[in-house]
Amino acid sequence: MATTVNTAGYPLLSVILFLPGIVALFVVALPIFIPNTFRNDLHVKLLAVVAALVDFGLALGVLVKFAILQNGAGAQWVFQFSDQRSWIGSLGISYMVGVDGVSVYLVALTTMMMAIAIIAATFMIQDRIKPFMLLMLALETGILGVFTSNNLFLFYVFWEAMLIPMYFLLGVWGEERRVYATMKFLIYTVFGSFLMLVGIFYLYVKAGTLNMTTPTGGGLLGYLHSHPLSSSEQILLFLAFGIAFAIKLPIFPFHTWAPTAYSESPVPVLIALAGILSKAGAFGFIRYCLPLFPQAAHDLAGMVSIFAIIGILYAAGLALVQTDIKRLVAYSSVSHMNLIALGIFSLNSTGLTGSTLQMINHSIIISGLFIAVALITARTGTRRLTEMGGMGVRWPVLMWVFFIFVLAGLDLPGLGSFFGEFLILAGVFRANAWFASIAALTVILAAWYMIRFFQDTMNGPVVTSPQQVAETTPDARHSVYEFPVLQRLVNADLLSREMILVAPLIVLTIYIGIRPSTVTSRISPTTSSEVYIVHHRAPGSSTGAIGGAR
Amino acid sequence: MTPGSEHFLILSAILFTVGALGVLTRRDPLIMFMSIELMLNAVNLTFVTFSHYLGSADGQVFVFIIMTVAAAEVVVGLALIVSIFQRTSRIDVDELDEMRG
Amino acid sequence: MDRLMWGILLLPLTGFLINSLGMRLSNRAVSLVGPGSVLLAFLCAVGSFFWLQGQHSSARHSDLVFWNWTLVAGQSRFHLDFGLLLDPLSSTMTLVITGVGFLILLYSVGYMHGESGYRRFFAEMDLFIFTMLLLVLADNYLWLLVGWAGVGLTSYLLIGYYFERPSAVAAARKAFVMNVIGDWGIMVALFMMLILFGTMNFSGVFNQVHTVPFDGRIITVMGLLLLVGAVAKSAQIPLYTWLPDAMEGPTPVSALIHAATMVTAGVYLVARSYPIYQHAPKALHVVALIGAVGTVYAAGMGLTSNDIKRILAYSTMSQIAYMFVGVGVAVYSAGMLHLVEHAFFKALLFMGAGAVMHAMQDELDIRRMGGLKEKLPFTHLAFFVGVLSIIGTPLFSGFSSKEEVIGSAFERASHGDPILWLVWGLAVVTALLTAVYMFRVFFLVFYGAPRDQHLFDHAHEAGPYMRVPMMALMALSVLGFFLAIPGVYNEMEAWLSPVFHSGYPGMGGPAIEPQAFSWISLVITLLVTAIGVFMAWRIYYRREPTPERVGAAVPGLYRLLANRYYMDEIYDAVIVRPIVFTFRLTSRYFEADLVDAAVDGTGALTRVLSGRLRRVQTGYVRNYALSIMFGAVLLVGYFIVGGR
Repeated sequence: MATTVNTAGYPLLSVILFLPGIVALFVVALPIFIPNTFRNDLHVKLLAVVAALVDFGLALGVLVKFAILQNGAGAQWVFQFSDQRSWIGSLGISYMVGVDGVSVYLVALTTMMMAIAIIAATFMIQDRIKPFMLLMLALETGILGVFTSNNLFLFYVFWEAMLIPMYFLLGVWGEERRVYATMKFLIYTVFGSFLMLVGIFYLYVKAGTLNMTTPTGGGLLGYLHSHPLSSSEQILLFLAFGIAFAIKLPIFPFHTWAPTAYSESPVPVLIALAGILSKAGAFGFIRYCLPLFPQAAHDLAGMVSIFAIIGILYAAGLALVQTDIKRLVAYSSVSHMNLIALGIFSLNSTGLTGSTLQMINHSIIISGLFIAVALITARTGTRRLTEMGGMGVRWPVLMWVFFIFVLAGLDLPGLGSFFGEFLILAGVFRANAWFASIAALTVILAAWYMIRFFQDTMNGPVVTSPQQVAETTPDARHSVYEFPVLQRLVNADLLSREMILVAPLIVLTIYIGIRPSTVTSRISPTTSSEVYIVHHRAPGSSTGAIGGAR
Repeated sequence: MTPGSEHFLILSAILFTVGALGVLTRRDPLIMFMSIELMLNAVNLTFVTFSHYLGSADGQVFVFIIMTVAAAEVVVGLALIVSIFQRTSRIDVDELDEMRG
Repeated sequence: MDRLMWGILLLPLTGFLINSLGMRLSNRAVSLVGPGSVLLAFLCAVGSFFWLQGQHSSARHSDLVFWNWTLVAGQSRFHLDFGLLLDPLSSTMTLVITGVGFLILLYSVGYMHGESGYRRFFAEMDLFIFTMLLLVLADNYLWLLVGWAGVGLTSYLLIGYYFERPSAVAAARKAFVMNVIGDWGIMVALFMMLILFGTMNFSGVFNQVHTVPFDGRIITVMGLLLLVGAVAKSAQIPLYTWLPDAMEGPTPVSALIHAATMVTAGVYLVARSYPIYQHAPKALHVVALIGAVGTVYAAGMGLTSNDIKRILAYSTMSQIAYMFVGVGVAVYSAGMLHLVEHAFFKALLFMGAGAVMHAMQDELDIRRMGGLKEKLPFTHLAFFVGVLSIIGTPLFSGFSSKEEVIGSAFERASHGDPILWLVWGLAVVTALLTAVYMFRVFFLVFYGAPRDQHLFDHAHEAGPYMRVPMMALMALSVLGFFLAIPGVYNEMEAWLSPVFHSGYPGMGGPAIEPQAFSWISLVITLLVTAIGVFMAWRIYYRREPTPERVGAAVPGLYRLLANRYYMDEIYDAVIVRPIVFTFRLTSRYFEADLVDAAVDGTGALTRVLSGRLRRVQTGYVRNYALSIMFGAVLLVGYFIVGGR
């Protein structure tokens, strides 16, 4: 059913997982023993960037060495690069990590995005840079833990652990209404996690183990295969897990924390929050909700899909009328994430593969768009669409870079995001043609709001007042940058360090657009075996409205 | 008449009640502290009694733990009382209601 | 052969990359790379054309598969072979795109001289040529869609070329969003293909079309969804309002994208998907009806507009509607013939209009022109050739294709398809209207007294970069006539026959036979056209009756036409504003006061409740001790009384 193998021979994945956290601890601990080390912010920045890049390099190594398994129907769900240590043996809790075709990309994506976020922080964050960097590194370990854990308890520990750095990052470095946004984010997510904890306890009491799978095919999956939960148990557990994931994703109507939190975050934190953390929710559905509670997944797929479709169109429509560009991007993010959720609940491998691919694309696009928002804000000193216009005349390179992200954001055919969207909708169409046709209407709304976003900032008559305001009021609070930097930016087109942030994203989105098959070839064996588990463990539900025989 | 275990238990109950009443009625934190010590030792007495009665050393182990904890508690508690006294120069627990909700 | 196909596709892409990334290129280098890369692509296209001609008619087909994508393995297999398909149909399109494209780029060298953003213009034009070639060379619908969206994107960029001008920005936005509506249709059609046939490759789909019921709901819906895409891209009813606005772009853009090539992609799509439409006669009828109504509808707007480029835009819409009629009556080669010939004469007309604008300091209003014949003799001649072609004068290119289209409709109608009588009738009426409105422009611009003496005095003929392409297109507009002479021969039909006659298995519907020629239709059309020319001559040249009196005779109709049927206003009031208004309300009330308030409300409720509860915390140590005691007593009591 599911197996684990280690293709590295040494615990490579654990190294990737703990490297950022250990570096952060090191920076905290070293001054205790050797005074006056890491006094210089520059050293901390440098160390953080190097750590993030090394981690990214290692993760790329995993991605390259990840074996593409050609397998037929009902194939094995294989975890590679596994590493298992006993931890709290008497409670059936072990330290167990491994990656499958879905999480291997999320690990690579996390390390890449965190590297970009940390590089961005080196010049976007001005005050208290040292704790910021440490928290970012700690956050990276937390997120990586979520994606690599193979034990439910370990998963939960990391799931909660990533909240702690996020809480401080948002609460300390956020913008004006940061306290409100942070509390909302925290309470919302913690509410979800506690329900999940209850579910985990129940599973533990029931199965006596929390390992997802073992090298011999045992573990939770094996147990649930031989002792299926009753239908009502499954639905309750599905909801206990699912609400936590739905909040993180966020699926309509659990989305309202997102625009608030996104619009108050500094951009490096946003890259982590919108770019990666939201994927943890989608990943949770794929990794836990579907294979553990297949019957409930079948029964609830239609309902979740309807919420997701509402969310897609609703958030897209709200993006259309926003005047704050950060909120606009936030709503577009919510719209795209709901599409990913819809793909997951098509319960077929096309939709799941599309959703995974779209997670990568969404991360690229949304990070790119938020970086663009930061670049625009740094030059104009405002986030209001009505106070902008004609920026393309002054900053043509910025305009074109921004335009590429806008095109990726409206899923232009030929760019990476299109193939993700196409696979998702094709999968959904297979499950329910009406759902797909209606959800596909989002391309029209997306084109509309994205082009509006682009034109109102970059095109039209030149509007000069906001940046003049910024020039005359040296108040760093209104800007991502401190004032001296802003002064330079007002006259400078894209700086080379800003180019470093966006260049990999642009290259990646074009590459995925040209060769999506290189990405999906690793994903689809995992999703198809998962789909097999879902469909062959859900008795008597093969005729549902959604998620038919395939 | 050799004292049986019931006598020890009765003594322990009396000591505990005295201690509890002390905690509830006195306003001087030092006296309250002593009352708490009285309660703890009443429990210790119960433990020892049962340990003897059951022929098991478990109770005696607990006694040692309680004594250690009690010692630690006294250290912390006295420090608190001293620092409060330094601040307010009066000691009355009823006046220490800053934590009122 | 493979190299030629790669050359066709990649040379314009190379041109785009050089022009877009070469920040320090001089204008001279840009004007060499821009048209040069397309010229080379044209030579490749010619080479591949001759290669195809050299093949036996059954083997005129080259599918160059270079990527095998297995996007999803396992049970719901999602496999795609990506390749370039060269057959007579795509070869025809590549010749038109690169040939006319090269001439227009050459024209642009003169026309765009001195514009800021010169390099950007040529980069975007090259990108357009590349995406358009991708559209026609793709051997599967997914890549067709990629090219489809690519031309939409470049069209957006070029309409909004003057991006600091608000009207251009609005026009670009409108064009883009309306085109995306079409993308939606194609996308859903592709999902249907995937489910039904498991592939999106042309050959795979067409070989399996017969497995779905003939004229059934599924295949009809699929045809109609593809038609949504075609209608949006080709600016047909009801998704046409973007095309007149698209004239905000520079004139070469209008000539290339919004007349000669991109807007005809819808016709190409229907022609390419003919096995689907052959299997879905109802959908094909819809194509023909949309086309027929569109011809008259657009011509009506052309009659009353005063903007020279918009008149040409309406005539484009009307002529594409003719092409829709052609493919809609299942004579695909007639539609394609009109596509090719229209590319010649419409590009010529736009170039003429561009030369006039060039001479008149970018004036667009024909009411301020007049008498330009003596100032611009060459442009006058070129425009005259274009007008004669578009109205279908014998010995000019429009004649053969238009007669093919109208005659085919006539033949189909007389062979038991009565709905098509309506189509034929509308097409004939449009022949009259076309003659009227085209000669109206011609007379108002080039004849009569100058209406703006200042502009007139400064008018001057365009330079050689603009004149050479116009000469070439004049030649093509005349030579186009010989592609097919109604009733004598039809080269186009013969050339395309391997595509449209090979037939895929189980092909239903009317056989696609070469149409018998109808003298009746030809004579009627010619007669009607002559009446139209005469009317234009009376009204706009002799001015008896004057145009104002004609307009006053039917005031309601005139107002309706002059206001473009109020369609812009209707769309704005019925679709755009309600959507924006609804979401604005939603944003302010539903999102903020309901969804978000529910969340914040939960927090507030908790705060209120805990506000009550916190009174318990009195701060008196003895209270706490007492409650602990009380709790302990209760617990002990529980164990003593009933805790077993």
